[in-house]
Amino acid sequence: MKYIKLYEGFYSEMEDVRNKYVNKVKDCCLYLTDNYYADIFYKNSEFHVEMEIDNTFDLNELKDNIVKSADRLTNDLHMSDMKIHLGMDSTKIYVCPISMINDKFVHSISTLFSAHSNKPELKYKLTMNFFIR
Amino acid sequence: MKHIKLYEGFKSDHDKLVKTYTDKIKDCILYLSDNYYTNIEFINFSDFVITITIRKNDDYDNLYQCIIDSNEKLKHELNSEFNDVTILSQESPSWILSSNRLLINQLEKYIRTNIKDIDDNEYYTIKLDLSLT
Repeated sequence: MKYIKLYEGFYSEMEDVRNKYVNKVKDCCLYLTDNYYADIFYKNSEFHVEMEIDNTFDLNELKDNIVKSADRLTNDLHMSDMKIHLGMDSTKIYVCPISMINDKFVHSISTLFSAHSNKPELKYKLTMNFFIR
Repeated sequence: MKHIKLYEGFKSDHDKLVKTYTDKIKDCILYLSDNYYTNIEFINFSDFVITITIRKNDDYDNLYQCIIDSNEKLKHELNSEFNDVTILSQESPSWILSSNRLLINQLEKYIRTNIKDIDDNEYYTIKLDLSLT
């Protein structure tokens, strides 16, 4: 029996294009996805890499993994305008461009974590938003 | 001389697909574009907006039928139809009529009673929202 070809329209073709590039982003962010639980998706014309972090994380390692992923995204996918958001629930605590992911960033986050060291259950959401060309 | 292959990435794939479907919409709304000044714009996700500008000498008696014919062609060719109709007048640049697809039928009455006796420099803008599946 011949198979019935389903209608493929704009929405499904656009989903294919977006998924293709979400997979490419995943390849570039292996440093992050291999080490942490990271959700990668496309929303509002931007790509998002979303992670949950807490004060048990090695922040220097996290910083290195973010920088390495950003470098690959720039080289392989011409990524631009990456911004890093750190928040808790719906409150944004920290927003900075990728160029500011350095030792000062690690220091700021570790100060924040220290202030809440009596609440180890606290989870923070770290999101990387960016465009790709 | 060999040609240089330009980088083709997400934006180019995305824009190509939008252009393909903009052209398909253009074919479906020929009834409108042959008679009125029309413009098709991709908004976001799977949403497009078709803008029709109505001036003094335009045949607005025929406008309603052209919208219906275009809607039928869109249903048949692209499995979609207009969701909302918004009419804006130049004098009061706020929307006058916004309706869901069931109310598109009221458009004829509205056009016949309201869009008439417009001055030389006056114009109406009709926005038709279309979500492609």
